[in-house]
Amino acid sequence: MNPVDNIAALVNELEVRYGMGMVFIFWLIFSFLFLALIFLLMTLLSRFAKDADARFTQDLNQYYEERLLGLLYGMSDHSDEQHIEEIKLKLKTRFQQQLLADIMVRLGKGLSGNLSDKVKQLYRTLQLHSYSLGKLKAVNWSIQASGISELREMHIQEGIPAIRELLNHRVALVRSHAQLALLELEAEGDRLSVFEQITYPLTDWDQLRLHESLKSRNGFHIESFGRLFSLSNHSIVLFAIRMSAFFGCSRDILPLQAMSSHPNVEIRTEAILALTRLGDYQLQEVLVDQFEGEETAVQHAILQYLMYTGYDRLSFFEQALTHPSHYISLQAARALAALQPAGFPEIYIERFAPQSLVIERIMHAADRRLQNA
Amino acid sequence: MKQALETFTYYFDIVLLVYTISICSSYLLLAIVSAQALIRYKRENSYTDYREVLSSPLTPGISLIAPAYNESLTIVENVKSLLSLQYPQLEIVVVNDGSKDDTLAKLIENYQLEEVPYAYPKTLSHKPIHGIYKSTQAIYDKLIVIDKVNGGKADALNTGLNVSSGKYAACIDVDCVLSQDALLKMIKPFLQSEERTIAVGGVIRIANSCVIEDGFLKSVQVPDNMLARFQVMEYTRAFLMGRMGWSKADGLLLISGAFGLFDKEIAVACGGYNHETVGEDMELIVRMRRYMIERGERYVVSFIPDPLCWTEAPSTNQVLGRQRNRWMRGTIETLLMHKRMFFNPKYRVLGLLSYPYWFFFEWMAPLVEIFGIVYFVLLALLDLPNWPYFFALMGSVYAFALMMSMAAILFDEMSYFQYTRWRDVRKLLIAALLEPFLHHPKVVWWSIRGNLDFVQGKKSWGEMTRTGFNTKPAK
Repeated sequence: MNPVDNIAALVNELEVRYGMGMVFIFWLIFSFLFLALIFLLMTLLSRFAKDADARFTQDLNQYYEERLLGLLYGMSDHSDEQHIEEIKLKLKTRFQQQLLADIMVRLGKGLSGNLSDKVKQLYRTLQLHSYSLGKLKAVNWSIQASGISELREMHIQEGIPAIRELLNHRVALVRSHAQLALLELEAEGDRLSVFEQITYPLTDWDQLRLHESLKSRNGFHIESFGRLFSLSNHSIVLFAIRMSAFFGCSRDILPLQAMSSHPNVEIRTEAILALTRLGDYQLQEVLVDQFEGEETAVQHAILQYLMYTGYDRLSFFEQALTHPSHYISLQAARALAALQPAGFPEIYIERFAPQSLVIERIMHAADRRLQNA
Repeated sequence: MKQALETFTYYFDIVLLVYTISICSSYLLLAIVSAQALIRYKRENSYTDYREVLSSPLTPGISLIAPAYNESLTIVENVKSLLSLQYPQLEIVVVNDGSKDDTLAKLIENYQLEEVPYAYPKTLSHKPIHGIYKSTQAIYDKLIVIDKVNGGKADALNTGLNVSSGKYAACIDVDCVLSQDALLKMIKPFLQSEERTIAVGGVIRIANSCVIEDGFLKSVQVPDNMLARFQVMEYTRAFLMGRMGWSKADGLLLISGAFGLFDKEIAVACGGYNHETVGEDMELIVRMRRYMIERGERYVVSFIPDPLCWTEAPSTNQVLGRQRNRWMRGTIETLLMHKRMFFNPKYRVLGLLSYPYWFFFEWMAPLVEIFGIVYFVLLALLDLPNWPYFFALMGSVYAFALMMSMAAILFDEMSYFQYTRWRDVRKLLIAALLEPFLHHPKVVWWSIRGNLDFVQGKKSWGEMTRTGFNTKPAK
């Protein structure tokens, strides 16, 4: 009898001797053990596959890298054409194309100048740009995201229209890659237009990556982010304000001054912080008047602005010392410490003697070891 | 009389059957949801370049709070390891919680600390602080050491929350080993979510038998100690096949106290850690979630499957028993403190699924199990059991446990492939086969003891003796 017949006979016997309940339990045990066995086999197979894959990938990696380095540095006796033909010989499957694309993206990131340009040129010569462009049409969003990333790294501008289509994709990862790619691939004067097409909020993660991208472009400079200040997407406005500050866009000072009274608290706060960073000092009296009725976050930003722009009305900071918020009070103490009025901190310690919390903050602000704490 | 007994056993058997089917189904369902979440996480993060976080001025500040109590032997190495974590805006706050040994003296000597007049907001209450210390050396600028009167872990963490200045607070056990990029990975859910993320938890892995060099993990191995090996199976099931799924379903109620990252504003606003429970980690998450729901604010609690935190698991029955006893007491205390969530639709998934799950399958399961054993013994004395059915049912429970453990090994293999040696798979396989016989009965017993101690009002943590990592000294 074969195993199936054996099992059928066992089930029959169980039914006759113990009833249907026992048959049900038998099938339950059988299913659990069967699945346990399947999971075990999958674990073992996965391990075999990983070992085999590692060996295969290692060999192929070495093959590609040797030829690529030969092409880039002229390290062998073969001609460029010979190298390219050799690479093409082992570039038939998607797996091979992906492996080479990954190597070239990695190489591109680690190189600069002529060598980096040469890698990008080779990417085209080996038709990998078509492979990356094709990935944008995939159904799987993670493949689309990797395609966008490759096009960005290899600076394939033909990808712009297709990437633009994905700028407001339902999956955040695709959106994030598309934003970065368009920011880097669009023509110099048109870069900020990307932000005008974004309908989703920019997350902090997006902002961080976009900022890194802007920072890393050599010779690339934006004189103003002001055209983004009027967008209805608040997250983009906040990003634009932050970027104005980081890139020292003094052209944006006037619109930023106007935004210091924006109805949105976050925008107000960021605008005041940006003005502080840009060295503006024209708003001192306006902000002092605004201070009283403001939210705590804005008040903190105002105190920073006043401190860094050398506002010297001691009575204002002295009043802020007794503010119920620890952070406001400490910031006021720091501003006073920066002004170094005669007898600081002793006269303040004496003056606020009954208020131990205020004294703690004055002592903290006066201690040079705690300047960054 | 006999007929009454038979009627009782008939209905009781049905109740037990329904309970067993429910608990097994919930494990299966969680495993399926976890698998989906794990696959998605891997796909979303395969192209992430965490170095971008390292150099950006937009990266928010993190305060890493590490309470220390009688850690003299390892504190210097532990702090050294924390100081070398990769994160641009990092503050390390070590809270010496009234250690009786020379923990503070060692810190002062090795990091050249001196007392400073540090002002901090007194938002959360805690035991008095003796002094706050900073280093005179610029290279240790991010280190703050607080020396305070002993008040327990929750008290120490609250002190750290008050003194820390970061927007986010990472609360850890000082003896845990974190991977160098742990904070970079943990901060990502806070930055990438469109809704406010209030807490993120990570997978805790067992470091017994692993090689630790200069405070960092150098080589991963399945523990040689069988008890620790059983815990590897338990942790893999709990984290990769449980919490991952709860996170996906928006019902995560626990982020391990060994390593969690919190939105400090929310943690402080809802009152910080509770001194009244030994399960302060779970209680804080439940309270933070309630706080957000009761204010009608949208929020997220995330969980990431990366193996970021490695801890030494108890390797003796005595220490493990104390730990499990405390976990059970912490669970009961938290559930009772938040009993109004029980099947309360206002709390959505938390009230309708998570809380009942914890109540029925975490708190009640050992009680049901021990009750079942007593019931069976009584039946046996009366010569009532149907032996073939008894053995068949026991077999099905064993087969189910084995299947779940095999799934856990597969999850680990397919996700982060931590145990790369073939002999590790063999070790895990043996642990999976033996666990239901050798380990599970003890876990049930310790949980019962936890219930009894809870009834008796026991509040202590119980001493956690550790044998120490397999370390290589710094060169």
